[in-house]
Amino acid sequence: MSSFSSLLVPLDGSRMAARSLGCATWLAAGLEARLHILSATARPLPAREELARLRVPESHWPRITLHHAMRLPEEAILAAAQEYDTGLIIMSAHGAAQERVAPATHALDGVGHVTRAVIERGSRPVLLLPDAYRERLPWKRVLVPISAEAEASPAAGIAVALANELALRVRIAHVLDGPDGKSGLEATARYADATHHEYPEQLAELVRRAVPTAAPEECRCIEEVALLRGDIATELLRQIEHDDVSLIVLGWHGSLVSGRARVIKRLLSAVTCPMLLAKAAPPSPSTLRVGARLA
Amino acid sequence: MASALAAAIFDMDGVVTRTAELHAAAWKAVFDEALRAWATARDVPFRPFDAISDYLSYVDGRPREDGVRNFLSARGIDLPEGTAGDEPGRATVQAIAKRKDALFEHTLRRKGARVYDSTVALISALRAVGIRTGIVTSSRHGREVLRRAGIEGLFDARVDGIDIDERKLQGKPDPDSFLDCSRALGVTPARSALIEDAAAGVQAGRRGGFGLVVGVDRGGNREALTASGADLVVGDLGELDVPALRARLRERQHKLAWRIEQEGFDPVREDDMESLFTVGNGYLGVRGSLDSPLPGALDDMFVAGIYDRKQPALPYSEPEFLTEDDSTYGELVSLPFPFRIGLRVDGKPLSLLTGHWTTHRRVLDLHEAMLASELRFEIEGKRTLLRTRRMASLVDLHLLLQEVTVELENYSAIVELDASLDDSRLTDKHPHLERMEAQPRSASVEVLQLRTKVSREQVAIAARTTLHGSGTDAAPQWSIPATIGTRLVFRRFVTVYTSRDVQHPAQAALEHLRALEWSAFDTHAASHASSWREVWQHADIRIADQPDVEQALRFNAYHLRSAADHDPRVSIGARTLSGRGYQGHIFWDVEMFMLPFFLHTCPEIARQLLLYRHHTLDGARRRARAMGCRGACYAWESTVTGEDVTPRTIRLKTSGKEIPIHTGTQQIHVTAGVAHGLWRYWEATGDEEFLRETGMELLAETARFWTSRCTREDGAYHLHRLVGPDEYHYGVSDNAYTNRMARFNLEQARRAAGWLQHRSPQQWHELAVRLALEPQEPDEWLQVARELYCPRPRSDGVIEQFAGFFDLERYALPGEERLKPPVSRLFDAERINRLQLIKQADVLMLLYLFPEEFSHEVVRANYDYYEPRTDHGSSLSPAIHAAVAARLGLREQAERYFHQSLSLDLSNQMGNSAAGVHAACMGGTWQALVFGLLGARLTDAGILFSEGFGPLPEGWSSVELELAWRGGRHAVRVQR
Repeated sequence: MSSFSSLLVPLDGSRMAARSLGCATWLAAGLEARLHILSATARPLPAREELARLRVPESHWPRITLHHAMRLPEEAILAAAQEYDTGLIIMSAHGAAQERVAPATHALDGVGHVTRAVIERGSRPVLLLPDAYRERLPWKRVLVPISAEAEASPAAGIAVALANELALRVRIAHVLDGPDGKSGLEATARYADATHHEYPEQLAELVRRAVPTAAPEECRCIEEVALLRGDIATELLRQIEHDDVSLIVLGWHGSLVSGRARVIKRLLSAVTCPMLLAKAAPPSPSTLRVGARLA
Repeated sequence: MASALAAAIFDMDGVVTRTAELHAAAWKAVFDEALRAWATARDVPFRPFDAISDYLSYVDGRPREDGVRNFLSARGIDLPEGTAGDEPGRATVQAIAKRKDALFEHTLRRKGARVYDSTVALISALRAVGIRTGIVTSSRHGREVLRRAGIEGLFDARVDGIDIDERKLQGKPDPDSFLDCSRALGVTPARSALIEDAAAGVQAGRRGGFGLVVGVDRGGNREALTASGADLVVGDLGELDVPALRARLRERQHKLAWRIEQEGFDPVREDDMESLFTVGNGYLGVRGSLDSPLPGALDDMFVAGIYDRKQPALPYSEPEFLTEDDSTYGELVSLPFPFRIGLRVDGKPLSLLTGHWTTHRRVLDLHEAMLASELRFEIEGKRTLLRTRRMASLVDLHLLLQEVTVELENYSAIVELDASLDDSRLTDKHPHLERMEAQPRSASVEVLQLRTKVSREQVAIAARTTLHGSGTDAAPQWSIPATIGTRLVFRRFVTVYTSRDVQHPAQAALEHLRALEWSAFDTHAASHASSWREVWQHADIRIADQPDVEQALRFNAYHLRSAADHDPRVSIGARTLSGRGYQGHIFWDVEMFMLPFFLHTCPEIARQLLLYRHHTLDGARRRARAMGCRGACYAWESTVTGEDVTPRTIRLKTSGKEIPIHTGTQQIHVTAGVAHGLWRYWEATGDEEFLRETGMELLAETARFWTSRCTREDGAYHLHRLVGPDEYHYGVSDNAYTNRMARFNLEQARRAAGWLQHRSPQQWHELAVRLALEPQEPDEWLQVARELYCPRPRSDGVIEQFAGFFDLERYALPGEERLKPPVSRLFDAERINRLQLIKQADVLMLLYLFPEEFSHEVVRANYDYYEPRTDHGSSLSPAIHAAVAARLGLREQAERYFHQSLSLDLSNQMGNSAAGVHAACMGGTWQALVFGLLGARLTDAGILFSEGFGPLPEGWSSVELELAWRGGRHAVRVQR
């Protein structure tokens, strides 16, 4: 069964939140998924009327389940995600609160407090529509940056799975960061006996670790693995701009506190495509009884 | 002693205190109440909780809520989770747990806590000899129980249910709580004993890596404790005392030092594990992939010598870097995995990806060269045990053996085993292989006949499977009804032949397979094990009380031996037959790093490795000619023909940036390295036939190369356009290492010529005719050797690595770049070429190889000069630094470098062991130990040990090994 058989869209009544419906219904159709719309309204309408009000094309209605709530605090969204066994939450970076307060300053804050709570506290992948989001459907190409810690991130696995279901092409980017490109592949490596063998192999292995359980045929959607040098966010933005990227999938550790997730914050303020955020899973238990584990 | 028992951690209930029975009674009361209500509501018979079997199987040792969920799940009862605030009478997990807690507390207050006197006596005895003690319990009443029992003071550390909640530790069978206790005691789990009475606790101890796991069976649990991994099971701790525990730990460590054991499963690390767990015999190597490999596994089999043209355009072959290489024999071919099985029980697939596994253990037995695995599944309470073992016979190099045992522990079902060789990737786009049109057919034998696409080599893999005891073969798909407790043992023979061995590989594989008797399966396995025991008689190194060092050395020796065969047409690739890394290419690694290991443990294999160079001499001649030289110049990277397969450039797809690779054209010291290895072989064995028949020709041709490669300037010969062992500098002149090695080559060629002229004039004459050797040539070699410029130490003793090195810009090497060179070393080759920054031992390599030529002061001056300028960008570097530092008496540095080298793959220091193990590093480590830390010198007077090397490393009391030298095998024992 697909990991994306159930999708969730929380709508808080704001125009910004409602923008996610187009993408969500397209995804639900492509993934043959059930789309749960969690709509906050003081005066619930019957489902058909509500979907019509939300301007959801009638052809999508059979795969949609509409849920009403008086309010949509993060707890309600997280509980709904749990209850509907959601594979993907689709939501805008800001919602009603931002529209009320300062519609002109969306880009400055990155995400609103509800969205932030959902992406920080929840464990499920979230498809985030940034403030500058422009709907461009169907998607064509997915960009996945991988770091030397790729093994902790499910991002590439999610990108490959989505790509196979939606017939997308995947572009993987590994950016050597720092002034001289000094932080990158070597974070996992110590020696390079023959550089022309070692670094290509390391890059290939980096990709393999990012999708450890995918079959070679599933990985055929990976059209390119780019090794880039420079500032990570700048390089990714360049890739998004030049290569007609429809979606960027990012693995992260789950905290937007000051000083963390800088790349995500920078991308949020600049990209026009959706960003899928996936949290690092806890490492699988595996011990090799050698060295200090022996004596 | 590094390995001695330092701590003991006790489970509380049932081990220290007699509270297990109180717990069991409380559980019975609450579960029976819930079960009765459940049965009544559904009008089904009431089946009470068994205070012994159910208690031990499902709740003992686990946190309360886990116990409730576990038991109810086993009975197929699904109750809501509820909340912590639920009233005790509600039918929720939380309410049942709460009720049990209240009942236990009530009973504890009423009856108090009693202890097992024998346990208390053991704890006291342990403490009396300074062994630290800890106690762990999932019970939130732990501290109260200890207080009531009056034994709080018996423990240096305590972890109870309250601590587990507060620190958010996972419950058993996760090892969290025990590891937390270990940390509090300040002792590694490896040096600790864990004493448990619950199967879940024993599993936790095993997963946590505790040195000794003792099971306490108070009745009816012995089998479960053993199956969970207990090292020993006792009825009561009165059966053990401190000496016994120490002895059992030592025994366990001794056992572990002969095995590489993985507990658990991490798909991200699976590629690395596959390399470490490779089985091989030099003819072939099969990576240690799971018996049912992951979909994208690197589940390769490699046969030495089967190469094909590299396919850079394929996805994943080179995701970003493109190297130009159109050699027909450019890349070692990945062949289908011969141990693949598919297992289904009642139609449900059992694999690690389904998530229903409870334990997974993989053990490489180094002593008998066998990879075994144990995998337990539990689906809806149905438990299945799968055990497998596999070998690549060291006796019959074309034979692989596999055994698969399936046991349904508590249910009956149809077991389906698919042992087909068919690999779906072959029907897809395999980079190198195509199926041959006509596949031989047979009812019970499967044959896969393949051909490489460009080199047109044929490979045949044939297999037969039987259900042990049935006496019959069948098609590779089996479907067997099995009842509770039945053990189904499937056995498989696999034979492998190639067109390099015989004209008709498929026929050979079939005939070989048909000649094998099932009744001889155990005999084949035993003779394989026996053959390996013989290997260890000569190759094992025993270091008292250092099981981790012994283990790593054995692991290295295992891989070196597994990669070597008696076939003179092949040699050992940089990553052996354990991975795709370096495309199976052969480097200077063999002669300079691996050969000494073989020379002094298994000289006949050393001979074959050198014969490979003779076999590829024509390739080396062609290469010399292509360079405008005479004689023979060995390829920097070579496969089966001797042709150089080093790529000339590397191009980045994304940016189009092209980086030239100079090693292929300039790193010619490999040629002298081959001659050096040959001479060492001659010195070590006195094998006259070898020198007469092949060695002299090789020495002559390589000497000829050097005479034509150097140029005469200012009254001396010089070598230009070089890359030395330090690969960061190219286009250099008079590299001290290369020049000295070339001189060695020339000198020994002259000596050998003189020897042959005297010893066998006829053979010399024949060789001279065949090689068109002019009579004066040997003297010219000597002349060039004498006049070849070899940089000497300057006034401060430092030898210039190459002409102009001292004038290069000094580079302040940041600490973080040492042992971790950034990828910019590749991109910024031009800049690096202008810096005093070196990749690996270069001048130090020279000092290491010619110790008698340089004084202590000179060695010290060069070590002090070059060591800070080296970023150890090669895995070959630490071993040589260890050896030189040891010679200088720099103990701390020698030991540090030795340990960096020792466990390179086991600790995956490079992060790329997935592409295969690092054989040169393994060989270098052996040299660092024998010629460095132990200070062995092999002389005409025998094996001597240099004075002044100081005592053995800290904690080593003695080292025992055997060294082959001049036809004898010499037992060596070095004591502290």
